[in-house]
Amino acid sequence: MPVVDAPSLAAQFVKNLREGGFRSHRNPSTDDDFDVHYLDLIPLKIRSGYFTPFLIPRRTTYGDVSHDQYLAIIDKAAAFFAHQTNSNFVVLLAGGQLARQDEELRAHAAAKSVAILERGDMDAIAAAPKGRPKERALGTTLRETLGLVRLSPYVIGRHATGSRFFGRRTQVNKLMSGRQGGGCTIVGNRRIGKTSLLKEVQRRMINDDPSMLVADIYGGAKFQNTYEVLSAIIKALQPQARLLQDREPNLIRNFSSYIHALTDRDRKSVAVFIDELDGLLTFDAEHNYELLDILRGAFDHERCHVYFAGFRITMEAKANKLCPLHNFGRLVALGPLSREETLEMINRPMENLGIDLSDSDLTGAIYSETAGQPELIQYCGAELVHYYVETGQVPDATTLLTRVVQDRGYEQAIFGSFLQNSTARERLACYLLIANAEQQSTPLDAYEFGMATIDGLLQKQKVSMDEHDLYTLISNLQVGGITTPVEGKQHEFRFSVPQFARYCMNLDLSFLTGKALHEVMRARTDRKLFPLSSIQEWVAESETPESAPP
Amino acid sequence: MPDLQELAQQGAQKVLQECLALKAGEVLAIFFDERTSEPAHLLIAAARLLDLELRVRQVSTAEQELFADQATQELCDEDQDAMHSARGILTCLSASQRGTPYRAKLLQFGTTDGKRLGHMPGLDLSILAHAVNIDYTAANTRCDNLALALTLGHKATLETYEALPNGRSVAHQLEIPLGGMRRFPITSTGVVPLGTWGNVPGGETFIAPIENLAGGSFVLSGSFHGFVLTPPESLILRFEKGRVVGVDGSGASRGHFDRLLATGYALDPINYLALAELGIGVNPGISDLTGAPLLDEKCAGTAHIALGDSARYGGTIQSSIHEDFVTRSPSLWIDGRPILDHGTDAFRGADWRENLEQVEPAALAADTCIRRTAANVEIGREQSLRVRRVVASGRQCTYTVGDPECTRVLAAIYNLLPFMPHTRTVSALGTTAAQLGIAEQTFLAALTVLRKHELIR
Repeated sequence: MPVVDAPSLAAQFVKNLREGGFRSHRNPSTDDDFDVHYLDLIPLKIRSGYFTPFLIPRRTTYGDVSHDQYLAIIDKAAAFFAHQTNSNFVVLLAGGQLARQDEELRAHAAAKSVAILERGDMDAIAAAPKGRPKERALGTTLRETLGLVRLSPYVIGRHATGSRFFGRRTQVNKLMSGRQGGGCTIVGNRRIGKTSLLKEVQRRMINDDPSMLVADIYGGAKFQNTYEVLSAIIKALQPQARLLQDREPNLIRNFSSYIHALTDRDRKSVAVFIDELDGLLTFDAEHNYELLDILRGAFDHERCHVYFAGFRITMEAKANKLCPLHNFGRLVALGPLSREETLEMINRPMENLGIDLSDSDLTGAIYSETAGQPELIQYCGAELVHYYVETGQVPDATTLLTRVVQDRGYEQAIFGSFLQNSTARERLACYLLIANAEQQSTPLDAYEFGMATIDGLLQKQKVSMDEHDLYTLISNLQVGGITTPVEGKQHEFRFSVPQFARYCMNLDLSFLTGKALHEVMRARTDRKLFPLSSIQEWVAESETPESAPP
Repeated sequence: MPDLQELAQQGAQKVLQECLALKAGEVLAIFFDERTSEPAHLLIAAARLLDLELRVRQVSTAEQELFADQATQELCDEDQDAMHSARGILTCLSASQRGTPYRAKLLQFGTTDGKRLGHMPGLDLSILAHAVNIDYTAANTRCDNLALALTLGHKATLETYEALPNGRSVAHQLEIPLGGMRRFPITSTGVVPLGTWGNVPGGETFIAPIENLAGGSFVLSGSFHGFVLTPPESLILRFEKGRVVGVDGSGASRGHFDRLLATGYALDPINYLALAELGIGVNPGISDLTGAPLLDEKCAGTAHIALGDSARYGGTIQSSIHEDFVTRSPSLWIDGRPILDHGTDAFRGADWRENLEQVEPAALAADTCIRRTAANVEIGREQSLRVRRVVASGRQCTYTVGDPECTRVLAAIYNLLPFMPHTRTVSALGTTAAQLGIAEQTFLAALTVLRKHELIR
C-alpha cells in the first residue's frame, strides 16, 4: 500500500468542505494527537450539534497503520469527544484503507461517537458538486458510519436548535433584525416551539459575536421577586461581579447602570433570554411590574438585548397597555409551521441521509396529520426513522401514521393534554362542535365556527352561558392550543389539529359528550381567564409592522 | 350582448365568490403590478361590492425583478402581513420571467392551512371576461371524471393529428405509463380548495407520468411558450424511454421551438427533454390559444404534455424548466377506454365508476381486520364518497368513487369504520352493515371497491 500524505489530504478535504458551504466559526486547534478543525454541519439538518470537530491524526503515516494502532487512534478521538459540548459526534479523517475493510473497527468507533472517513469517502464527498449534492454525499457517508438513529434530527421533548431547527426564517429574521438593542417577545401556544426559537436566536447571536455576554434565564415559578431575577441575570452575565444580592443592597436601583457599564465601558453586547416569562409576570403584576420596568430601562439601550418567551400571561401582558411589556420592542407571534416548512423538516434531513422520499406520499400526509405542529411532526419523523432502521424501507403514509397514532406519547400530545387542561364546558363545546361538523359532512380541517355556533350547540344541551363566559371559553380553547383563529375571517375559529377529533370519535363521541355534560351540570364553576378582546388586540398588534426598536 | 368590461366584472365576482369562496367580512390580499392594474382594479371593485376587507399590494415589475436579485429572497413585512391576515389571496402579477422568483415566493408563503390562493399570472380583461367566467360545476364534473381515470389507469394512449396538405390527417400515438394508483393526478378546476393554491383560471386535470417509459410520437399542433401554431402547421415530437429523441417539422414554429429547447438545454442539459406531464384542458371559456401556457393548457378540446420538471406535480424529475406543449383536438384512451374523441369529451361513467352489482367481491375471511388508510375521504351531503389526496406541495387530487348508488353504499360503510389506528373485523362490520339494510354481497363488493381505491387496508 503506498504511503499517503494523509494529513495533507485530510486538510485539503476540510478546505473542500469549507468552500462547499460548511462554515467554520471556531479557529482550528492542535493537541498531542490531532489537528482539529471545527465545521458547522448545520446545513445538513441532521443531529450534528452546533459544530463538529474534524480530527486529523498527527504523527501518523496512514498507509501502514495496524489494527491496534487504529484502535488507539479511535480511542483518542473518543477521549477528545468526551470533552466536547455542543457536538453530537467527531469525524476522524483517517485517510487510509484499513477501516473500510474492518467493520469491527468502524462499529467500535461509531459506538464512541467517532465517524471514520476513509480516503475513498473523502474523495467521493470532495468530488460532489457544492450545495445539495455535497450535503447528500457527506450526510449519507455519516449515516453509513454512525447509523441513522444517532443522526436523526427528531428528538421528542427537547428544544430544537442548530441543525435540528427548521423553518421560522421570517421570525428569526424579525428577531435578529434589531441588532442594535431593545426587547423582543415571542408568544405562542404550548409546544409551538417558543423555547427552540429563543435558543436558536441565542445560538446565532453568539455565533455572530462570540464576545457577547449572555444570560439564559428560565422563568417559571423558580423566582419569587425582582431581586432574585436581577441577581440571576448578573450572575449569568458576570459570575464574578460584585453586584450580587448579599453584597449589593442597591442591586435593583443600580441594575441599569451596571448593564450599561458593560456595554459602554467594556464595549460588549449583552443579551438576556428569559423563557417562561409567565412565571415572572405572576409576581411582577402584583408589584406593579417593577421587574419589567427595570428590564425595559436597562435594555432600551444600544447593544443591550432582552428576549422574552411566554404563553397566555405574556400574551395578556403584551396586550395590556398598562404593562411595560406592551410596546417594548418587537413581537413575534408563533403559529404552526407552514406547509413548506413541514415538508422541509421531513424531506431535507431524509434526503441528506440518503433516504429518498420523492416517490412517496409521506410528507403531504404528515402535514395533513399534524397541521404543522412542530412536536407532532417530530413524532412522525422519529417514527419514519425507526421504521427505516427496522425494515430498510420507506413506509407508506398509512403504515407510518398508524404507527404514529398508536404511540402513547403522540396521543398524549394531542388528546391527553386537552383532557388535562380543559374544563368540562370547554370539552363539551369541542365535542358538540365535532359532532356538528360530522352532521354537516364538513371535514374537520375545513370546519369553522364562531361564538354563535358554540352558543347554539350549548343551548341545545340546555347549557346557557352569558357573553362573557362564552368569550372566556373561546379564549381558553385558543390559548390552550385547541383552536386557532381563522385568518382573514373575524371571530371565527377552527381546530388547530383536526386529527384531535379522531381520538374523540374512537373513544365514542356521544359518551364523551354525555360525560362532559354531566360534569357541567354538576359543577357550575369554571376557571376564568382574560377576555378574548385582549387576544384580538394582541393578534392585531402582531400583524402590524412595527417600527424599528430604539 | 354584454361588452368585455361587463363580462370582466362578472368574472371578477366569480373569482372571489366561486374560486376563492370568499364571504362578506373576510379578508382578501391582492397582489398586482402596473401591467395588471386594470383587471386588478376590477377585482378590487368586486371585493368592495362583496364587503370584503382588502389588503392591496401593488408591487411594480421593477420591484419584482429586484427581489430576484436579492440573496435572501425574503418577502418584505408588508407582503407577509397582507398574506398572514388574509383568507383569500390573489397573485395577479404579470407573467414575466424575471418576476418568477417573487411569484414563486408568494405561492410558497401563501399556501398554508386556512387560506385559498388563486394564482393569476398575466391577468388581463379578456381572462376575467371569459376564462374565469365559466360554469364551475361542469368543470368540476369533468375534472372529477378525468382524475378518476388517470388515477386508476395504467396506460394512456394519446392520439394526435398531423394535418396533411391534401386535407387529410395522419394519426400519431404516444403511449404514456400512468402507474395505476402509483401516481395521482392534480385536479385544477379553478375552485381552489382550502389550504391549497390553484391557477385561476383553472380547468385541467394533469398527471406526472411514470418516468423513462413513454414512447411514440406527439403532434404539437396548438401552442407552446410564446408561439401559437396555425393549422395545418405542426411539429412532431418523437419519444423513446420517456424522452424526446427527435423533432420533425419546419417553418416558423420550428425556429421558435428550437430556441426554446436551446434555452432549456442551457438551464438543464439533463432533464430538458424528459416527459413531465400529461394534461387535459376542460375550460370552455378559453377558445383561442395565445402562447401563454398557463391559459392554453386549460383550453377545452386540447391536451398537452410538458418537458422538464415533474417533481412539483408528484413526479420525480427535478428541473429548473417546465415547458408545456398543447395539441388541438386529440383523442385519448386510458387502458383502451375512451376519454377524448378528437377533442370532445368521450368519458363513459360505466367504464370507470363501479357498479356494486357488477363488482366481483374479493374473498375476505370473517376475522380479517380492516382499517382506514391515510387517504382523506369526504362524505358529501348527498352521501357520496370523495377521495382527496395531497399530490404535491399544496396541490390535490379529488374524485368521487363509484356510480351514484355505489358511492352511497361506500359512504355508509366507510362511516362504520373507526379512525386510525383502530380496526374492525369483516364480520363485525358486516353485521352493522346488515342492520343498515346492506346485503352481504353488496357489502363485500363495497369492501373490494374501497380496497381498490386504497381507502381501507
